[in-house]
Amino acid sequence: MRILLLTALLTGILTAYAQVDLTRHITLDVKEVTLDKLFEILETYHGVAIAFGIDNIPNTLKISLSVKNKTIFEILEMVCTQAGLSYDVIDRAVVFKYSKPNHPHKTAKVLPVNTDSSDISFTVKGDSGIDSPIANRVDSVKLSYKYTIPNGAEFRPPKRVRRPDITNLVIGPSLFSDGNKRSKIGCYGAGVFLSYAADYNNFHFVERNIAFQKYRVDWNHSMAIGGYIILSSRIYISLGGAYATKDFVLNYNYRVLDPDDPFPIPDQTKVKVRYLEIPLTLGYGILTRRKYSLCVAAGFYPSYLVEKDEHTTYLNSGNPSTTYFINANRSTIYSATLGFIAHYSIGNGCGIFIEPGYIYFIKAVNKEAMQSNSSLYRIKAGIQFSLFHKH
Amino acid sequence: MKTLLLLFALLFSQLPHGLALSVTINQTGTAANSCSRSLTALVSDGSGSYSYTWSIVTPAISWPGSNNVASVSLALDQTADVNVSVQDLNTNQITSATVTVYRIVTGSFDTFIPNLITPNGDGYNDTWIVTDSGKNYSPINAYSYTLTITNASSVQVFSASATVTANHLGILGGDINWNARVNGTGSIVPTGVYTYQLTLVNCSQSTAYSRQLNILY
Repeated sequence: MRILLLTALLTGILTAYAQVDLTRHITLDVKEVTLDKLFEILETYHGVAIAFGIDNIPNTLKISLSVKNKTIFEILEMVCTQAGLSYDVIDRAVVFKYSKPNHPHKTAKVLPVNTDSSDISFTVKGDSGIDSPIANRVDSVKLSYKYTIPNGAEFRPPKRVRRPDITNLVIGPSLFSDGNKRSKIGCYGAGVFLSYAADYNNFHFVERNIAFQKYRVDWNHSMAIGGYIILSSRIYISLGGAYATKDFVLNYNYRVLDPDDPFPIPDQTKVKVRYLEIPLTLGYGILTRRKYSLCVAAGFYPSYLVEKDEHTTYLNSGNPSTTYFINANRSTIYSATLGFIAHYSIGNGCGIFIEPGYIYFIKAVNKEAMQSNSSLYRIKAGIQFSLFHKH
Repeated sequence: MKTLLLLFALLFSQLPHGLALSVTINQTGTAANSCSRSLTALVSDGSGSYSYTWSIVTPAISWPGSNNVASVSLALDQTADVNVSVQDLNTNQITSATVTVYRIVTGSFDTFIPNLITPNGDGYNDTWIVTDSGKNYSPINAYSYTLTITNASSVQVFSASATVTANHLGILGGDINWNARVNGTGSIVPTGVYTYQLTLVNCSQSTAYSRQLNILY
């Protein structure tokens, strides 16, 4: 009894506000009209009273609609969806707001709507695609209209049309597709990289017969280029080619009373050694997120001698060349490496990475100057371009 | 005759009152290898009872040690002019004298020791010479040294030592040297790496260097 009374009361109130039935089916054909013009047409020819208050109507947004026998609700829904608007039902008003692309839309449960798109075709012409035209201009679009509810029917706002998810197209994922997914071994992505590394050498030099003669090694460098493949959600493998320097210096530290001595008194011998490295690295992701990832990496680097040079400078005017070390460089050296790769995606399939590591040489680089068991600490920084990526 | 007598009387009457108080300073321990210099004030023509006031005139430093004594000892690290003022306690006469007291040889050594010589007779770097850091052949701030040079097989090829007593300067640059000959008189040693053991001594320290010397030619 009480429920019946309540329903009757509600219906009465709702009916009192009713002016136009928005569940009415109409046919509409307009070309290149602005929003306000469209609303005007709806009002004049179909009796839909729409009142709107907005900061700005985007004058450049032009809508063309060719619609047959659809409800006014559906039409409004489609227009607002394509125009980047969303709505909420608040009391008797339908409040339209500008909707940002990657936020889930707030939807109320909707009437089932025939979304057979073959009857409808329309284009939304704006500045440059869906997001930007309205973004800077429209804060909210408030459309309030009066509607009627057929007796007995429950009011439900129209169904929202699902927007295509464009997020994955605009921002490229990090190195790994989705770190939390377990995936089988396969080719999930591939690309190329370019990097520069600085090496802090930890060469073990031999003791000189003359104790005050000292070896010194400065920072060495390398540049690499290569390709990589992502084998699973966590495994990364890369192969490249690098040009690396492994130069060192011998300081003689002679002290003489007369630097004018015509006998050539050496000051320093600089040994220039260049290798072509083939770095093969295997990385395992220990932290994988959408924009960044962290791997532990292990690798094997065979290196081939490509350039060698030795030059001695003198305290006095002497200038004879020397060959103490030049022929003692190993033509092939093998090294093993261990480190980390931290990767950050900067968009469009591109990413930057930093790779600190420790490289251990199986044998000495230069047999005359060094003992075995030399090593170095390398910090590599680079940029990676994804050629393809399976989601 | 009377004039002469008068003159003589005048002369003799002056004599007992004409001798004035005077002092001279006697210095001992002036050699380079002395680590303390002694000064004695010798006073003459006084009553025998004096007060002594010692001071350092230049540089302007205060008197170290005891004062009002006839004999003092100084061990200064810089050369100074020392003055003594003596007052006769009975007659109140004052006299003074000044003397230069050289620094004792103390502090760090000032050396340039080559580690390469080329004894090929071209006149450049033919001799191994220990000199001061400015290569001026000035004092190296040591008064005594011992030197031995051995070859790579630890066979001795040269040795020398000396202590300077003649002057206050100590060892000068160039005093310690080796002509690259075996025992100084034999043939020139072959090229190679040699080791020298050089000990330098002064009043504050004694340092033994054991370093390599390379001989090429």
